Amino acid sequence: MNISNAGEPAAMKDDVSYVSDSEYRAVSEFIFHECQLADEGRWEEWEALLADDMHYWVPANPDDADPNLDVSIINDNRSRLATRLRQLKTGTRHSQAPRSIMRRMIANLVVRKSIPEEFEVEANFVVYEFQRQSTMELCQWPGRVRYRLRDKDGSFEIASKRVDLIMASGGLPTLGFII
Amino acid sequence: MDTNRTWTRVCEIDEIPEDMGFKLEIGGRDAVAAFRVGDEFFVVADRCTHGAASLAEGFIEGFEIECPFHGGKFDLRTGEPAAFPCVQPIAVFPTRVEDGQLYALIDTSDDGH
Amino acid sequence: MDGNTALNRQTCIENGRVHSSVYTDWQAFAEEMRVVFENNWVFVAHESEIPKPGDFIRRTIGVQPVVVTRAPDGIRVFANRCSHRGNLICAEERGRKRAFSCQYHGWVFAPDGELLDIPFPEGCAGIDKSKHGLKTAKVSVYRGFIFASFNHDVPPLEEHLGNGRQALDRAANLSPSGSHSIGRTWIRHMFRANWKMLSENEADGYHVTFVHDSFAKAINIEGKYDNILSDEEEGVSAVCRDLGNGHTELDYEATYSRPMEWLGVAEDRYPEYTEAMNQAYGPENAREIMRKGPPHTFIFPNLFVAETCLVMIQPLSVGETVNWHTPLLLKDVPDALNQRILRQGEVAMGPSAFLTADDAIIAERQWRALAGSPGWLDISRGADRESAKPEGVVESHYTDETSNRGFWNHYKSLFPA
Repeated sequence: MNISNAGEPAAMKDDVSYVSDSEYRAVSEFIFHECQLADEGRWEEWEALLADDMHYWVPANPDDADPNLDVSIINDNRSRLATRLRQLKTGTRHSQAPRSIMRRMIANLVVRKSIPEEFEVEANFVVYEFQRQSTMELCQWPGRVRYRLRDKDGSFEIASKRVDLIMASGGLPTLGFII
Repeated sequence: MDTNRTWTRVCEIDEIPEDMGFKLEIGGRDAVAAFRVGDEFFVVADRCTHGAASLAEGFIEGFEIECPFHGGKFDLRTGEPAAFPCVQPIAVFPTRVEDGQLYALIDTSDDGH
Repeated sequence: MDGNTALNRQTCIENGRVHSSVYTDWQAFAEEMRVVFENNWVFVAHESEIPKPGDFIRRTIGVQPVVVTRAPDGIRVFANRCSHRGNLICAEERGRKRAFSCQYHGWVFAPDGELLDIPFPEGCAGIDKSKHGLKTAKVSVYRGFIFASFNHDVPPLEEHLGNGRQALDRAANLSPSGSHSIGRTWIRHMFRANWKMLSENEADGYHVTFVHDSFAKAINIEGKYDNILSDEEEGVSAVCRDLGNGHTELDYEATYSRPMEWLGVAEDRYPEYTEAMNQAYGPENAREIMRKGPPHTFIFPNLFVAETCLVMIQPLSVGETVNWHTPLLLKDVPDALNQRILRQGEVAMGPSAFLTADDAIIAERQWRALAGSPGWLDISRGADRESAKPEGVVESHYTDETSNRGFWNHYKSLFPA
């Protein structure tokens, strides 16, 4: 595909290319499925989508975040994420007992392929969470999410998931679920 | 040529703080402020033309001095206002450095500007 | 205002019980902001947050917004409210300014609150600038922790800190140069509950087995939790203390047998650190400092030195509080050590943390239950087995409510009959 400099999208890098229609569809369906598992608290199935080196990150200062300099809301390597999921599975993690009822919308999905063979996915999202553990309130969590996916066994595995909440630097209520 | 202007010692170049100006009161007249940007030196009228602020207390950004009161800016090289609400230029004075001392060509006479 | 609330603290706070309205009465909350917060010393910031002259950050004293800034002559705190028509003078969360200009009409103030300049001054010729300075707070710093009070006659900070001083020393002395250098980011966790529930929870050992059992089951590493989560009351060797002046603490020191156990690492994990500590304090003292670990101490009314985290409790309303936290990074230690403290800072505290996320839900349930169903709450646990220690300290079993009684006795003393 020939793209003149004048029309080149600002975010595109030299080593990043567009994906085919079928790849876009496959990635999108994978992401929608991941969202549904997270919404429904199907933690074992969700965990099965993760790569062994998965990094799950929710920065507190998304505009200028450095995971080694700044404390984060969530900054899980695969091991810590495993502990988090074990904790959820005990059933006595009060912030998710009972589990929040959630549905998230995900939109504006942009899928690119980088070298080596990884998909970069960016999207806007909002999670609607009914916090029935204590306040019985409907809570909204809007932001932008970035995934890195790798091909695996005819599907994908998640190498990283980064969630930039629009209100990350403000006062956040308890975020006990997988966002 | 204004015959009342003389080369006046302002300060030692080391006296200029890292990110502020050095203020020199000139007896009976307005003060001047000295700034350093890299290896260049600038001496300007200290009082902002917008309000009563001392430009020596402002922040330097490139070749611009930001007034500490309302955030307006002047170009140190020309004295021209570079950002609102400053609209009137400040006086700038030729400078030279000799033996680690900064001099500026300033009108030091007692009778008005 | 006094007399407007039906809440009489003299009758609703007793030594072994409190009435729940102290948590849910909104008029009592308004009074607290003045009597407990503005009138006394509150923690506002750490020195390392404003290292250079001109640096400033926005904080609150109670619900009153303030600016904390490093002026050329020292740290200054002023109410973030213009003396002209009351606008918020400073909207940025942090930055660097040498003078503060109100965005509404351009009035300019110095960091010490002095009114420096009025635009179009002819129209304000009748105004005496000296009477229109900003409301300022008295400031005092101890081991880098900045405290402020709107009461300019408040007794000295050291007097207020009392037995809480040793906790700040204990925290700062973990650095060979005796100070902290905290990072640029704080996390703000919103609790839909009353601020006093957070203050009390900091030194509440009784709840740990129940609220945090899911964490204990999930983690694989041995550590202090093995002791605290013991099923046997006698098996728990940590203690709880009322330090006087409303300060309280839990102390895990007795559960640590070797240096650096508090951080969950081997004692020789950071040899440069050990060497630097030996140099600074002498080998015996250094070893003891590194074994005892950091404090778990609440400084009345809003500071919690939470071992590897600095926590600040910010009341918003009778039923809303923000729990701020940032890792207590040490000055002049190897990066690897601070990295570990940083990582630990994400474990215990924050909206998604393994621990505090659950504490928040418990507090929220408590607040809702009490708002709907007021009554007397029992805080008598351990009253018959607590022991008096030197300097007025009272100590008891980790699970006892000695800390709650200490908090409430001091709180009550601030509202004389």
